[in-house]
Amino acid sequence: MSALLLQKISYQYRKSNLPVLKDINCNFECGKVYAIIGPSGSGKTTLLSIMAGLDRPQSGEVFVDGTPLSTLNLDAYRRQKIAMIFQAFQLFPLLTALENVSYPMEINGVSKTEARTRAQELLASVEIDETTSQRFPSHLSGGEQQRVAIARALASGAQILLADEPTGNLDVDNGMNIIDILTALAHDKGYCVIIVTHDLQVAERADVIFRMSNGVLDTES
Amino acid sequence: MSGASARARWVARQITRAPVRSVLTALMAFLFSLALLWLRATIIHSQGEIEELYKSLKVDITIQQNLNRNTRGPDTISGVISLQKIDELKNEGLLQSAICRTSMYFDSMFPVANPEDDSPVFYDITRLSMLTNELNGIYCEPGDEVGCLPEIIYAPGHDESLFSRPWAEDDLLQAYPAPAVEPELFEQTVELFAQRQAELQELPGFSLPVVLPVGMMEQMEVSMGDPFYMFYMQTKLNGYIATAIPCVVVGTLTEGPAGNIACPLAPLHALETFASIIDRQMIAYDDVQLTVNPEKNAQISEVCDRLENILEDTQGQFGSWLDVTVWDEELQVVIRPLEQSYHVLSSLYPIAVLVSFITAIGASLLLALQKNKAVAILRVLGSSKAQVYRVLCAEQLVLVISGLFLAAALCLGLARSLLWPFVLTNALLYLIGTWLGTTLAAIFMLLCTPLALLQSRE
Repeated sequence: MSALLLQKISYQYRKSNLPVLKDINCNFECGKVYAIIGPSGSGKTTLLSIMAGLDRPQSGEVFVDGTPLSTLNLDAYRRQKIAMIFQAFQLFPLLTALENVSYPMEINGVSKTEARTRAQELLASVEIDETTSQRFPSHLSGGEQQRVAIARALASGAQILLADEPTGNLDVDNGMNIIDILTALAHDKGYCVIIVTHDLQVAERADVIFRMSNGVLDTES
Repeated sequence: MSGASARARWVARQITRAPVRSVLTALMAFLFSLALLWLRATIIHSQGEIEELYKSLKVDITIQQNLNRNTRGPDTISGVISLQKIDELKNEGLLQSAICRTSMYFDSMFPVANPEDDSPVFYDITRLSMLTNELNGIYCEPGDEVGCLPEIIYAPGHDESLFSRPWAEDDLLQAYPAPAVEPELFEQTVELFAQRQAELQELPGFSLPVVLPVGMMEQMEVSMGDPFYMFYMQTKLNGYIATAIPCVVVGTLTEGPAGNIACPLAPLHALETFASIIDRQMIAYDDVQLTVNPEKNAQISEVCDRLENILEDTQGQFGSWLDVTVWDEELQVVIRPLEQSYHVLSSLYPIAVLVSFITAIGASLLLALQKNKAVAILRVLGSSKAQVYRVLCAEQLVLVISGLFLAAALCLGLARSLLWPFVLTNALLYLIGTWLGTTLAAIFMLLCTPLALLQSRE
């Protein structure tokens, strides 16, 4: 089933008119892990930004479950349909791990108690125990922070996970651990996981690899 | 509602879990507000001090004839100034009192004989005329002290209003009817003046109320309420015209100003009434001491300008025959430095307010920009731009309001309710500045894509 469909996506920077993405067509399905690789400045993050509804392409359309993204409320889309994971984890530094995970649910209208219970379950699923969940991000290791970020991504109930260099700040072991979690989410729970990376080791764990070069997306395998 | 409460909890956590930043934000608002209120209180205090000083000072203006000129000015009726012009100054609220000195050359005084006593008492004319030949006309505002003269002891039924009320003919006739004069007494008087080839003018039917020095009263053996006569001599081609002015003792004084020999005092308006009846040129004031209304001390230059306009003769040659001196040294020495400080502070205040406003904008802008990562994450998580803007503003404004409130409570607890308008104005300006800075930061951050914000931080 197509979770995300990109049709003739083109994008260029407003100020310089420099083309960043050229006529990109791509289909992302649930239950698979996709890797987008390419050198720095090739447009990977821009593509991710468009898929997340954080930016609009100059031409082309993104379809989410068959619905054009341009017709959707983008804030609601980001709250419910899509979730992002970042290289630098991007947790709220003044919220505990538990609060970081419960917050997306609370702003979605879930009660505080229910959100906390669900958050605890999600953290447990990524091997963050109750004691660790009471700590602030600055007191967590890199791997723990990224796992909390994954739990937060899952909290909204979104089926599409976009990961921008999720292992970039982690050592090899932790990085692979994260990839294992993401892979399990896709294969066992039907998530559509899209990983942007320049790490070939990470890319090799994906079901489908796309290579971005000069704004063009080609399938590698 | 749940989402709103979640955002409220988020704001509360941002405030409580970053105590240093929160305290600094509130402290900055507190200190700026306190500084402005202190400055305002100082200005108000200085203003009050200056106003009180102005009212406490006595500023006199003396007008005298220029000794190099022998002729009088155009206002020949009343010497250097007329009563009408003094009234003009009074009606405009510029004057508190006036002492007008006229050299009414009176030749003698003698009391009216007791009707039961056949022997009127006469005084040595020569000796009396050496005492003083000066009569001072006094004019003052009701309730004010009579210039700088010493205390006057009034006859029963009399007080300072003697010198402030207008005295028309009917008023004098009713209050002080002229006593009947025994014909023999009058003939003896005529005889006295006949030796000087003087003619005696007909006496008016009312008396002039006069305050006499105690020494004169003792010599004349008169008491409070007793009548007496004052003769005014005026030269004419072949002799004199003597005018007998009936007087009544309405008070006594012990000494003159600055140790001078005391002069008889009469209400200026009463003197003028006599002059208008008897001789239009009778009252000629040789010098005048005007005491400025203390309420007008702050506008002394305007008072002097107005006086100049009033005294200007038809030829526009003011000053050619009059010496006008303003005795305002105390004002210059004491108040002018205070006024300069006051003006400096007053000028600084709006600048300080502007600096506070700009600082509020700058501080809130910088503090809000530090939240660019949080803004980006909130946007990625699905918060709308409006929701993100609200939490940004809420965090800043809660802290700033806390600081402003503390400053206001402290100031109003220690100072006066006069500061209320400034408390509200300063607080409002600082809040607007905070809102403006936060809004500018929010506009910048929300116009950028969240990923761009996250990458810029990295």
